[in-house]
Amino acid sequence: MDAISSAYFSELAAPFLNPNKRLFWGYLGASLIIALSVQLILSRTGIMRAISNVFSRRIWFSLSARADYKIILINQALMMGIGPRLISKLAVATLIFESLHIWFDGRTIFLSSCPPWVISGLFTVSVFFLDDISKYLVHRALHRWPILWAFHKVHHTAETLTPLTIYRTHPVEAVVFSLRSVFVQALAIGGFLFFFGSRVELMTVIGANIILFAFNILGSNLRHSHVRISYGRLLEHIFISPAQHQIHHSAAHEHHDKNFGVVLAIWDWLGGTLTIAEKEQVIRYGVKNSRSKNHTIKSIYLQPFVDSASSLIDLYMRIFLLMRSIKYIPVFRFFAVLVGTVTVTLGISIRDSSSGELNIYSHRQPFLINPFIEAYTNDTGTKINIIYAKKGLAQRLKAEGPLSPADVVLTVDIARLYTYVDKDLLAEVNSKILYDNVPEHLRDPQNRWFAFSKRARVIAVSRRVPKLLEPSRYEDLADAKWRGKVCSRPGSHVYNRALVASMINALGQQRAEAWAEGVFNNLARRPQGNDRAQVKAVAEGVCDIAIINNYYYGKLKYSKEPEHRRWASEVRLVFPNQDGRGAHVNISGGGIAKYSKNKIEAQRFLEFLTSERAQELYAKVNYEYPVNRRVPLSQELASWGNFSEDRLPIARLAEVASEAQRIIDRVGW
Amino acid sequence: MYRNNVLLASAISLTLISGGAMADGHGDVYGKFPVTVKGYSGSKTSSTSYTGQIARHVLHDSLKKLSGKGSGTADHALKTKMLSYYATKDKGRAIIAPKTKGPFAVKQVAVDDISGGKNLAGKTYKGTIAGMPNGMTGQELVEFWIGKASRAKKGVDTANGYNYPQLISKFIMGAVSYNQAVDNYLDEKLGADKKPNDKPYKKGAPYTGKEHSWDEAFGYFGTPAHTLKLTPRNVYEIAKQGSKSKKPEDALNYADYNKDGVVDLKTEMTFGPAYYAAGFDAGSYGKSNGTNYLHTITRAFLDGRKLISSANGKKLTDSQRSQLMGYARIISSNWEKVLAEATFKYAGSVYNDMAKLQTIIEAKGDTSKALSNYIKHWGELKGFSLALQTGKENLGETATKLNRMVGFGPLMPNLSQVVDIDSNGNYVRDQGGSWGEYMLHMAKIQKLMVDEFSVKAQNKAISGDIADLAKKLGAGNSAEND
Repeated sequence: MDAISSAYFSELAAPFLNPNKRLFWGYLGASLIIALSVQLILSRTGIMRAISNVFSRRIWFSLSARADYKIILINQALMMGIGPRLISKLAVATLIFESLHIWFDGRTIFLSSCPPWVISGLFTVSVFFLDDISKYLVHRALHRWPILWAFHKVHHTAETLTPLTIYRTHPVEAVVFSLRSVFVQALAIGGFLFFFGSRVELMTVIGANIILFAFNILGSNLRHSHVRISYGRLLEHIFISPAQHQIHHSAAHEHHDKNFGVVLAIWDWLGGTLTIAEKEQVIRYGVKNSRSKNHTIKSIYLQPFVDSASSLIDLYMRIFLLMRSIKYIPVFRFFAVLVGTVTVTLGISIRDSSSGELNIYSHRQPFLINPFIEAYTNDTGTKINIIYAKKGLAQRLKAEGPLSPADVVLTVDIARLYTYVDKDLLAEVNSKILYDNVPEHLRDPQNRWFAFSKRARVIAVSRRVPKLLEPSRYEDLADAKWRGKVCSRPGSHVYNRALVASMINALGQQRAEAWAEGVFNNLARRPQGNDRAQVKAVAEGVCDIAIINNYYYGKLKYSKEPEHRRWASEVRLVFPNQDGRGAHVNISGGGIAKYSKNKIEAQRFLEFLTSERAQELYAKVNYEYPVNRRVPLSQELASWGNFSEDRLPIARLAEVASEAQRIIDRVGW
Repeated sequence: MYRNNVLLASAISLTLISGGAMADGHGDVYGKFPVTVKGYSGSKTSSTSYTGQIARHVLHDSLKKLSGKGSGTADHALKTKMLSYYATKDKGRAIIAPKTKGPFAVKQVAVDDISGGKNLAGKTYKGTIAGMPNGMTGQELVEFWIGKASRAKKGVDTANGYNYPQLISKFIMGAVSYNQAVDNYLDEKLGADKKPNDKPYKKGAPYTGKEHSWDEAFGYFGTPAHTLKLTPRNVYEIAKQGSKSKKPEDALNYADYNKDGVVDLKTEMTFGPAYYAAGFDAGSYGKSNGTNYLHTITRAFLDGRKLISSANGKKLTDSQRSQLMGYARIISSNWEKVLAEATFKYAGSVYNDMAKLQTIIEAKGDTSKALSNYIKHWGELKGFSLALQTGKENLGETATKLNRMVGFGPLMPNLSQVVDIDSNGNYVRDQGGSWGEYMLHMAKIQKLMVDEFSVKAQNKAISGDIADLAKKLGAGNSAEND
């Protein structure tokens, strides 16, 4: 208890000892000197008179001032409880600092040759500006939004102003101020450290921001006083003078919602809320309906909640009326139908639980395989469990060894399928159905993996490029006429490595390397992002052509995002090498886990995936081509153009993958 | 009569103990301790012995040196030589490091001068290494790296991003030294029935089971016997053989405790684990923030050894053993923190290198130097992060997170990253995550080290400046109203 009370009193004294606070004794002293000087020199008041003016009992012991003191005592206790529960500046600054890494994809140090004092100066000024404008905006909102004004009004019910009136604040408002400060400082810290690194320092005088020190030492405390100091018309457009802030506290109607600024007046000027101090202006402080009740503790602490709630009810009523006017009822109906459907679906899936079970390890995203699984479960009653992971499943399967629960492995790209056979994780499958449905060049020579769908690596060409000029072969991508006009994801991605492997097969190692080098030299920017990002880059004019897998185009074309649809509309697809070996295709596929305890069911599932019914789904779900020749192209895929494919045995791509990687490394793609 | 004999024996042994300790100055030196084995008939006057561990430190230092000798093409002779320092117990192996350097004269020139018939492979962590593909054991991983290092130019693979001298060295510091000390000698061998104190360690040995177990653990820490008479900075400078000293001869003076003008590797040299502990305490990598790993660990070793010696060749009582295990816990937890501090520090270095690399790439400058630093620091990060996982506890989720964030290889500037090793031992790469995301992984690794191991030195803290700056800006104007 002693510790708490000692902490309480030391916190109470802290503002007078901390140069970051306006009530710091040094600033109070400076304000006193200025107040006396103004009266002695400008008003030619006698010294005794000046002192009695400044320390007038009428002001310092008024009902209003006494309420200020009580508020300070109560708030201090409340904030000791609330303060530590608010989000910390450190947490927000760290979050901002980290998020910037994602937004800017990494971090580049700016002005690295700049001396540290320049950076510190920049930081100090920025902190000041950010602080000042955010205070202006928050202050403006406190006045303009009824729900907030209910709390800020407590400050404005003061009828006499002393420097201590600065703490006549409702606790809710104190929380708002704290949060503002947390976010602004966090933004400055996180942002500056991200861009300028550890050279960032705050320029301080006796531990306070140098600019705020200047503001405070120049009599900031006189804003809350009865000493009127005006800076003159010109300066009052830049700095808020004590007289201008006193106008802000005026009860007169014409002074309402004026001069929100703290240090700078420019925000008020820009925001149309600036009022210049007039000569010899007599101001009555307070609000319109000044009542002695305004200074009771009950009224100060509780009335704002009542007022705020009533403004909230008012707001709800407005929203309600607005909703009615836009006929919200169909929206409600839609949600009702949606909830109903989900419930029924859930009910069906629970009812359909069956005897058989199959465990799938999948690199394919759940939304891509769920339609197949639903169809299979409906047909057979087999319950399917999926373990999905973007990477690491082969390592997991290897570590699990004979104890692995996996029955089926599903993945994309020949390189990843090859990983499984290389680690001896797949079982040989003897199935006439699979042999019939999957062409020989699209399955493992030892029948451990099978392709289920094909995807073509195509060229997305900007519609800005005349059709006559568009590339028709992969080889054209290396043509110097496309210098600075090609976009691609990194060469080491399996899709590009497979393409390089196909080029090695077609052209030989040396010419393939020259080609890769040509493509790399033609890149408009550092290889980055996925295939979707390349279409975006073409649409935004970063480049004219991009290498992508065909289905990305379909995904964008039918995306729910209008922006994505726009990107797709900006490009057309070219299926390369149609006059020669055909377009390079890669596959999605899978196999049966070597230690599956359920190989018959697993085989049945693979056979299902190559069946005509499932094969049609590949086009529907993800715009991929069927491997089963009996399955016709979907209307959508057919509309993009029929193409001939490079019929190179797909396993060959894996065999030269290492060579392809070396080429990619050498050219730096 | 019997009582008199007991009193006499006790008086003699007390004299011996204090004499043994006193001989090396007020008991602050891990020096000669008396022979307490009952019925010992040999000529040794000291029971202290950890030369086998020092020999392994020397094998490790030499192997590190050899790892950087590759010419860029397959070099079978180099591989064989490296393996002779790692896996064989060949006689006649010269010490490749540490060797005499300027005034820092090293007493021994051959590994056999320290201890014969030792290797590292037999003492490498036997569990599987989850942080690398294909579930290799510690030994398999080192041998895989040795094969790669012998083919890589100066031991560095710039395409995949591996610096083998760093990987091998940092990993061995954990998989051999840390693992043997904390998981074997300071854990299993402290059991009541394992290597008891009332029997010699092995037949005819001048030391008891517990004495020698304890000495071996101390040997693996690799600190000079007179560490408590030195500052952490002195111990750090000894490892640097004068290159970080004001005057090169300073390091020799710190090391040469018996003033014979040469550094005896057996008792006077600083090796890997102690070097890092000393480095953090001395603030050699930034601030130490009050860490005291080196002296805490050494003091616990010394106190433990005195305790064993005081049992005078009798079986340790339960209370003595529990006190000894208390010292062992101090050693294990501080040693673990040193490895976590190193992981923290190198995550910071990797992060800084990435920012530098990106700045240079965007300015279209020459990245070769920055890239080589990046690969080097990543090797140290990976090595230490794997070392950290070779203690007696399974780190569980912490290890999983750490391994996923560090990855099997560094994210290269062309955004590729090793994702696998195929059956022919070739690295398989794929497009990794984004550059920014990988940078953030480094920040998260640092946070993980703070959360899980309470590291204090926190050198090269990525978001360390945030806390400093936040403090400087002070609390917001919480209730100030205008």
